[in-house]
Amino acid sequence: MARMKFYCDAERCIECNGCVTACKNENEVPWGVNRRRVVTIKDGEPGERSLSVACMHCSDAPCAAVCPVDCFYTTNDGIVLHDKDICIGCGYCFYACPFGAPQFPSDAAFASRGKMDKCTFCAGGPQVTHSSEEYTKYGANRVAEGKLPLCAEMCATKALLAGDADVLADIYRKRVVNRGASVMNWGVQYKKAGIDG
Amino acid sequence: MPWPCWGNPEMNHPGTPNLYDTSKKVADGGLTFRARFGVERNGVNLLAENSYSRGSEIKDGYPEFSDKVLKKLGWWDDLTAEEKQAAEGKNWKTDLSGGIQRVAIKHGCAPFGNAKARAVVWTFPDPVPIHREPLYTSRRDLVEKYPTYEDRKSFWRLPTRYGSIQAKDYSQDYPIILTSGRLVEYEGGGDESRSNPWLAELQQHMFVEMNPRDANNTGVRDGDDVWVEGAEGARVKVRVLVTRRVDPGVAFMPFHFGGHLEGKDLRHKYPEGADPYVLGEAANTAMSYGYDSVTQMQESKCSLCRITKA
Repeated sequence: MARMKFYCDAERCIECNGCVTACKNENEVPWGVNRRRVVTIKDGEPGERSLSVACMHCSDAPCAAVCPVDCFYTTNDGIVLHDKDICIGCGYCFYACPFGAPQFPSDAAFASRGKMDKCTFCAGGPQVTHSSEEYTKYGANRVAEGKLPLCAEMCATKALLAGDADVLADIYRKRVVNRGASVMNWGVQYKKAGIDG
Repeated sequence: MPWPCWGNPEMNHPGTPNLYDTSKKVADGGLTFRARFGVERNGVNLLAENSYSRGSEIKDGYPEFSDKVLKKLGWWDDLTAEEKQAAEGKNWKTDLSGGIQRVAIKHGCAPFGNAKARAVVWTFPDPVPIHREPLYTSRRDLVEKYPTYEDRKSFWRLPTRYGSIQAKDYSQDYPIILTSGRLVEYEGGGDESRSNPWLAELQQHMFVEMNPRDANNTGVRDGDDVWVEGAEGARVKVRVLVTRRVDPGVAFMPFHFGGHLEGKDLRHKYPEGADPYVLGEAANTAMSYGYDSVTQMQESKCSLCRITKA
């Protein structure tokens, strides 16, 4: 079985927000709910780096551990999903999540909170695959079509990768090796930029 | 197909992915530099010398192809009878049969000629680009050395000021250099992209970027509102984004916003349903007079301003 993961390569991310826009488009996510966002550190200074962050689909997900109604489940592909029919919108998962992934619509059934919404790795939800109910509540189910999440598919610099963790690790390892051998001598550049101390 | 894609569909030209690539035949996407500005100037040959694209039967520079050029080369009879009729008195641009292009390429030549690339544009006010200080400049010491143009009484029929503006020193009242540019989320004036909720959500406020030193001297913090007043007196009310991306003494504004004017929200003036999700002050309100000396494009990159807490 594959274990699906995201990986964002901070050396490649250019903070274009294409992943954020692709996600909104594919899943019809409303204004104010951000399943994915780009975080920039040292904005406008030497050593500036950006990272695209969404649900990391943790192997031992803290959101699932704290959920009082146990609405989370992990698919065979290692994707962490939740059932909005069980969710009570309490926000415990938001406290537990180290990445700020859980989002709470402000204009739905639970007033200021609403039921939790988060990245589904474009894998839909517990409803019948490709049903309109699944699409309305959870967005697209690309994984069922054999496709990867649209955010990573659309990433122009291929900073954001999605897929089987083993494959991603392999891609990243090759990148690091190539960077080390580059005529640009990226290793030195990293030191100049204060990345690896 | 990448431009230029020569001739009729029957020619099946692959397009020209790399301009001026002489290592390929013109028929395979190779190309020379266009002979667009005559064949000589002041007694100097403008055509290529010792340079031609692969397979060219003319091993030298040549002018653009016309009926006369074909006849002089003895290639006229390569045209069909119909092509001859259409090509008579025409050149490669105006011959609708495509015959002139076809025959030129058959002989390995680029229909638009083979000339030298040039860095001198004798029809421009500065044939070779030189630095000229902006109309509103904080570097008065450079004005004498690099003055702008003289005022023009008729520039495309309009009187246009240059030197008379630069002559006055605005840098005491307006000490900060103002520049403008793009954001990755928006395009052009931004009306379409600010009407797209996915993009508009990412940039919800018009802002001015200030260096921490200038922000400190102005007494503002990140997220405060300020008035940015251009050297001509018009001002915009925008949010401060404090970054070191701009140097001390420089401020940056994106030019994708519109719909606010000098602090007033004009949303009610949009036709119903036509107002974008996000409105903001237009950077141009506080930018410079000043026009490019050839295209009359407005100066959007360099002016002066003063910034005060709103």
